Amino acid sequence: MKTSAVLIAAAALLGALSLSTLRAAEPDNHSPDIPAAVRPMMQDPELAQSDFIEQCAGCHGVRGSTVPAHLPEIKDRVGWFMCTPESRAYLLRLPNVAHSRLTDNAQLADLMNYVVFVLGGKSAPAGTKPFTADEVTRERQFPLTSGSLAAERLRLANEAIRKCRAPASLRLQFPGSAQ
Amino acid sequence: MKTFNPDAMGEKLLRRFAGGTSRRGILARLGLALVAAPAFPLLPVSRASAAKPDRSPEAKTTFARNAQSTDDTKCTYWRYCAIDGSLCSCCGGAVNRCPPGAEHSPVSWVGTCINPDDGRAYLIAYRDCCGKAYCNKCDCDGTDRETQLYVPQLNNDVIWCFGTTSMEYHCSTAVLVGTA
Repeated sequence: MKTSAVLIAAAALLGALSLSTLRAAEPDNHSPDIPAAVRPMMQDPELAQSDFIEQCAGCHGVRGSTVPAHLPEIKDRVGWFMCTPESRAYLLRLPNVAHSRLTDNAQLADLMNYVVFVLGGKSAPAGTKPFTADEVTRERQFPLTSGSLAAERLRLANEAIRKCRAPASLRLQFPGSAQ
Repeated sequence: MKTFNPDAMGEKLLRRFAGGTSRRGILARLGLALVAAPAFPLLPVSRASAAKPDRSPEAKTTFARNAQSTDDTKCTYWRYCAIDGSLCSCCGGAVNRCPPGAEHSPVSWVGTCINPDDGRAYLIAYRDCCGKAYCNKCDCDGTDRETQLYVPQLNNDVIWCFGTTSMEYHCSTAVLVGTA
C-alpha cells in the first residue's frame, strides 16, 4: 500500500518535472493561471484550458492575444460582450463556437467560461453569470452564418460601450489596430 | 383444359395468403415499432466518444509508434507528428525558435502528439517562421489528426504567416503549448 503511494507520488513528480523541463526552454507558450475565484464557474477548469489551446489558441493565442494578426483580441476585453443578453448570445453563436467539434454542451460552456472569465480577465461586468450547458444548447442552434460578422460585432461593441461603459477601443479588433 | 395454369396458381396462393393474414396486423406491428424505437437509444451503449483516449501501442499512429525524442533534426522527432515543411532546427533555428532574420508567426495550427518518453499526449503549435526565402532542408510532412483543407484550422498545408510583415514562408517550428 505504502510503496504504491510512493510510486504514484514519484510518477506524478516525474510527470510534473518532465513537463516543466520541456517548458523551460519554450518561448511564448504559457497559458494563464486559472484564478481560484473563477474555478467554480467550470466543471473541469484544466480540460477547459486544454480544449481552448487545442480548438482556439492556434489563431487566438494561448493567452488570448496574437496582435498584430487581424483577429479580435480576447485578452482582457472579451468579457464586455457579456453586457447584454444579445451580445452574450453572440459569443455562443459565433460560427466556430456554434459549429465547434466539441459535442458536449457542458464542455463547450466550460470552454467559453474559460475564455470570458480567465482570458477576459476583469472585463466581464460585475455580477455576470457564467454560461450554462442549457444556454449553449439553446444558442448554438442559431450560428451566425449569414450576414456580416464584422458589422454584427461592431453593433454589439457599440452597445457595450453605451450600456456597460466598455472602452471605445472595443470597436477595433485590438487597441491600436486599423480595423 | 390447361394442365399448367400459372394465373390460377397465383390467384390461389394470394387468396390463401390474404385469408391467413390480417391487414390490420401490419398496422399494429408498425405502430409498436414506432412507439418502441425511441426507447432504444436510452439503453446503455458503449459510445466511442465517451471512452478515454486509447494510448496503447496498437492505437497509436504509425508516426507515434516510430517517434523518437533525441534528434529534433529528423522527421521522426515526436513533436513533428503533424508538421508540414522545413524543420527550423535544420535551417539555423531550433525546434521552437526561428533562424536569425525570420519572424515567428503569432498564429499557427495546433496538433496533438504523443511523447514516447512518458506516453502522454501534448499540444504542439506549429508556428511558421516567415520573411525569408523557403529553407528547403529537412522537409517533413506529418499528418496525424490533420483534416481536409476546408477545415483550415486543422490543416497543415496552410501557410500560417498571418500577422507577420511578410507572408513568405521560411520554415516551421513545433512549440509545446500544453497537455492534452
